[in-house]
Amino acid sequence: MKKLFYKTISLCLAAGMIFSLGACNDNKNGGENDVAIWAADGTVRINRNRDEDDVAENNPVFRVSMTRNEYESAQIILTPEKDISAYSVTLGDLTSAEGKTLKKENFSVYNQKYLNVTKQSDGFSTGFGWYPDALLPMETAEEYGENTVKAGENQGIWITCYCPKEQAAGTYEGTFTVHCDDKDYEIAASVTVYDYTLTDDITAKSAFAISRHFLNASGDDTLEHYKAAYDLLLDYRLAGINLPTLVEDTNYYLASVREYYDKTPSYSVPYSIKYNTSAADTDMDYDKFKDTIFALAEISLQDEKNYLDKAYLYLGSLIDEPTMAGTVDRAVRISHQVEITKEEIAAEMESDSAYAGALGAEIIDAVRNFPHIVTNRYTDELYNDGEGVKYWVPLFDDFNSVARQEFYENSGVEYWWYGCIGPNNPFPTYQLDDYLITSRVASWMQKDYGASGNLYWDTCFWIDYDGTYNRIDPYTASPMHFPGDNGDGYLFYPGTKYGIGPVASIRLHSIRDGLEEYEILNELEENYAAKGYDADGILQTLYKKLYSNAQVKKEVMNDPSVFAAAREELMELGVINQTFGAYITKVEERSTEAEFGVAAEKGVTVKINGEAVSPVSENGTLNEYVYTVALDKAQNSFVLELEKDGKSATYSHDLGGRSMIFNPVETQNDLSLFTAGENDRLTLANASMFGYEGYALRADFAATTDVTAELRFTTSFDVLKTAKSLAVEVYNPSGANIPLVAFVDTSGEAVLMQIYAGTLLPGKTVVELPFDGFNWEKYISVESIVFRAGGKNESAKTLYFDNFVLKG
Amino acid sequence: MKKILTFVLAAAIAVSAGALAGCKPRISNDENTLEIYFLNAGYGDQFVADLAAAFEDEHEGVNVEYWGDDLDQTAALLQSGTTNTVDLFIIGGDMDSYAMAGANVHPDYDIILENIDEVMEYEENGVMLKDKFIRDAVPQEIDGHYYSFSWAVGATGLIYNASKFEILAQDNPNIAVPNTTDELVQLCEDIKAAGEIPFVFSVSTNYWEYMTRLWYMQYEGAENVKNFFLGIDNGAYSRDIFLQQGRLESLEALNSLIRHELGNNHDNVNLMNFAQSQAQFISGNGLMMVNGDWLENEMRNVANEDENKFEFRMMKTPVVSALSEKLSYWKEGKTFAEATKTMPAKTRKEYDEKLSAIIDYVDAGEPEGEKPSFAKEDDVLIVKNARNVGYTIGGNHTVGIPVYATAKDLAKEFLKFMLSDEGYRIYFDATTGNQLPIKYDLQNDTERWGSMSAFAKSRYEVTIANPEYENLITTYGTTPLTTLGGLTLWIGDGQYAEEFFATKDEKHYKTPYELYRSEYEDEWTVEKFNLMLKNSGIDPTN
Repeated sequence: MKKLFYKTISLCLAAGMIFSLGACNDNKNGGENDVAIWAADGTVRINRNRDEDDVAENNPVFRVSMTRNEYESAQIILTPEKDISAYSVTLGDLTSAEGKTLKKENFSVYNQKYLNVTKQSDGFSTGFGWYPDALLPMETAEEYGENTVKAGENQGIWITCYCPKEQAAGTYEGTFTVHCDDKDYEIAASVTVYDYTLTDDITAKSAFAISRHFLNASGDDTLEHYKAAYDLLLDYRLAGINLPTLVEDTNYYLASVREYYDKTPSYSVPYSIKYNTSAADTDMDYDKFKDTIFALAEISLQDEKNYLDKAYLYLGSLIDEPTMAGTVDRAVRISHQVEITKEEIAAEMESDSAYAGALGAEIIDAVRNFPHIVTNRYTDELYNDGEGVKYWVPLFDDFNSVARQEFYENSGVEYWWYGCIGPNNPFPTYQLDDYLITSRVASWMQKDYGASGNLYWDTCFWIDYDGTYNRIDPYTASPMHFPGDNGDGYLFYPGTKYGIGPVASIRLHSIRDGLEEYEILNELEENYAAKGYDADGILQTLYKKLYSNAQVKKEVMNDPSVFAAAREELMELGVINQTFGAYITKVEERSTEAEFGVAAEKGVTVKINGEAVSPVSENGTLNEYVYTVALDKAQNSFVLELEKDGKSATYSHDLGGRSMIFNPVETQNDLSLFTAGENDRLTLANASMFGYEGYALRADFAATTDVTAELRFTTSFDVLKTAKSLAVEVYNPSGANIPLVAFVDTSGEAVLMQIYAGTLLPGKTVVELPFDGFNWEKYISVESIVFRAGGKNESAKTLYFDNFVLKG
Repeated sequence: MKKILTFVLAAAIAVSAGALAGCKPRISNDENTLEIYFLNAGYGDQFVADLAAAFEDEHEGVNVEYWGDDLDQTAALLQSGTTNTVDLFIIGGDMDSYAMAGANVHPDYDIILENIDEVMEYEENGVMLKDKFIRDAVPQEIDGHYYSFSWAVGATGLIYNASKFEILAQDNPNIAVPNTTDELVQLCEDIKAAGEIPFVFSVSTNYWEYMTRLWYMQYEGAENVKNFFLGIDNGAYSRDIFLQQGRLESLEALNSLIRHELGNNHDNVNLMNFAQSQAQFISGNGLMMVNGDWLENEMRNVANEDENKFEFRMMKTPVVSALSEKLSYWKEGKTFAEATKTMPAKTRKEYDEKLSAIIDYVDAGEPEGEKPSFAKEDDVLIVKNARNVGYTIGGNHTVGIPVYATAKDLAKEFLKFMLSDEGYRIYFDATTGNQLPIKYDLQNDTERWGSMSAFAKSRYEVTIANPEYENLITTYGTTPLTTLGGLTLWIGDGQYAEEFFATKDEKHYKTPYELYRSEYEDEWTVEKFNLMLKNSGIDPTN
């Protein structure tokens, strides 16, 4: 078996991701040291060990695109022929064509520090090598002489731009200079600012542990250090589990709640452990819990602010991961008692006139819905018929099917999620030897799946654990601190040895980037809902490009431009909504066309695909439009142009290539290509459920015993060799979800191979069978496509199939 | 870029969370010192000590040092490369998985294990060592080379208190080793009527899975077991493999025996740990227990030699009564599980008596027995195959030599010695009659055969003495889906069916059908199965 090494992604040309850094014409310094200076965007890791693809010629100009009040990063990579004893960066102001300035003070420059992966993470690894993680401020790197580069190695410089709220939209350009010993290299820089302002609000809750006893490993276990760490995480839109205070002292605790309430998305309520003699087991002190809730309620009334709406309870030292830990009984008992206690508190408040007003009602409601989060997926045992765990925190991979996603979404209560030494790629991770992009996409998934918060088991596990705890220098030790995954358990580094505060990591930056995108998604959802629209239609088209069932798509990991395009589209959606009050109210993809609904404030001029369009209806101050795009070109798109008072904006949505009907299932001739089981019936039926005239294939599958219901489509599929996919519309008239798997029966393999696996929700689903990348050499030809619906020993079912369409 | 997914390796690494903890003695790393790390558990440490001493005697100037525990630090030791000095691993794990993991174990080595072709092709008395292995333990070739072999038979089964059976049989001759699971159900009734407890076990150790796996294999047969591990159902790579009926029938059989309300279980099965339940069994509190060939070795620590010393035997595993459905005279037109929901008890008994009669015929062997007139040749073959299926865990007790070991040659010599007849005898003596999984004419070794307890003889007869004995899971269970995709017969730790069946808490009880369907619906969703296929390299778009 070949050794596998991480290949650097050197060609980061996505429209709108990274710094525009135009390398010098020849990247040579005149002869003494040949230094290749090239750039990469902030969604990839460039390892220190040089790969043959890391060549300067492959890296032309890069750019950053961002919104106001956002952070966005990119990298410069130095790869010298000979050692560099000192390098540094001088920034310059960037200016726009309109004469506006983006000041250099808005940029922060970091030296990337590397860790050597010598043991690959369990489950998945991008290979051995030196991975960048800690981001040491450049001035500190210079002060400590760490701004050196060895011959033949890559050295990354991470540069983060913060775009001020007042910055005008536009493209800003200028130059930065990289000094390598006695040679200077000028680099063109370009930042495009979108006409959208990111909110300061952090609506994504989080519980990222900062373990005091592991902070000690840096030699500084002071509260000040903890506070610095807590504040650092807040800078990255994350909340530590415990507020930076003496949580055991109620007065200190309340003061800290007051200090942080407006800044933090969430905070935990402290608890005490007490022995439960009747259960003969450890338990929580419910009286103390009550006192704390009442104390929070009191200051809420005093300050006229509902402090309880960001609070939660996490009993990590009592009932963490109860199924795995074998503490199911304890989890059930305590969870139930917490709910009883909450109800007692709420009842007491209701009889107290202090809570009589609107704020009082809010507080009581917050108490009743106060989440006691338990790190476990749903199980019947833990739920205990409603007298057990209520607020679930399953692992990321528990969302690996539509059924599971729906289960939690329909549960009616708040739920979070988490990852912890697993699951691994293609699920998102915070591990070091994984694709960086998964840690960013995680926040998109979180929004999509409706998880209110994200929990992480530690952010400063600066210890090597092998059964005993051993202090290490996290800057130099093996990155696998806890057995399992490299990088797991720590997201920042101690700054103590440099005399500075905590040092962030690339992973922390990536997490923040995702959380910023989370807020854009959230704002769109809220704004759409306020107008009676559902943003999910258009947002799902973005989500689908990035992942499916909590698994990041291969193309997203391998090609940064895929994520960049989705992000750009998201920002455009934000711009047209925030600036023009415009909404994409509907996206309906059909076999050979796509229909869009648009709403925009009256007075805004609307053009779609270059045509001026007229409204078809109104919704208060909005005009509503409908437009259908025929998918008849090699490249199709929906382009919305808005203009008002001299301001304009464009939103583009890629619709892919040509869609061509392959089998419309309209005639008996079309139908004759399909076969099913001997007790099944195939007929042509009215296609009205698809919204079409004409016919569709109706498959009445008989009850199954030892085989699954099967529909076989047999014809020549040679045309698939030049297509991206074969899509079919499937209609499930039942009220139940039906698993559907599609296989190809090929001449090169005796066994049917799965090409699609999904779940048919009630209603219409467009099932797309991917043939882009199909291994025709091995499998030669496709003889039949076989659909299997449901499973064995199931009752009869009916499905409709219509319009088999070639795409791309 | 290809993903690196080494599920088995991951599992091994996960187990070794206590890596390098505990006492490791300082041992010289020269080429004349052979350092062995071994599993110190059910089979004890005496066999290593005795083999080491004998090897030293035969190899002047050689020093064998050994140390062991029950933690399985293999992964951590291998990953630490030349910083660890172990030359030979004799572990409770599958060393082949490290060979299959290739360069993913350590960056400096394409394969972390030394190939032991030289050992396998070494001849003793004209027989290559690789040909000495019993059918169930034939070493696996990986890309044309050998890297490991099993060092234990690891036979498992239902062990019974033969002494008490004999006493009870004086009043009730029906108290005897049953042929089928339905007969086992009846046996439990007879045992209870005699005032004894049929079963003792611990719900926390999942030993009953040894039996459900057996019953599954009996019911499904080799072809379907093979297809399961290949992920193939009805001609397709399909998660319908989790709907193989044998999975349900095996759970139904178990439920019919240990469901709490039947009263067949020791009262504390839900409270005891394994050691406690085993101690109860050895003391006669519970006449039957699922266990393994290591029992006798562990009994030495528990049995009081002065009193209540019982004779234990491993019974030939009762054939799952659901097998009747596969035979020519089955007239119900539905599965056994479905049919027996409404089938009159008399009819069920009639079917089972027929099955039992065929089993008697198969056990007697030709030309001794008389084939029942109702049985066709195909019926006999089906029953015979079911009777020869066994479940062993020898595949999880294996040896391996790190490729960087300084005493590699010495380690190979040690392995040759271990697999020799002399090595077999040393192992046998040290483990109270357990055997290496190699052929040896034990019955003609009158001294050793005579020294074997009834238990040892019974398990020998059930396993090694039967040339057809085969663990189909061992034979077919190593595929890309299991090594790369994470496919297991039951998700994770087998769901501990006994926990749900033997529970006293009604709310905790799950029916066999619920457990069976939950694997399919909740655990192996279409998406998860699809991902598993992709990870296994079964992806037509890649």
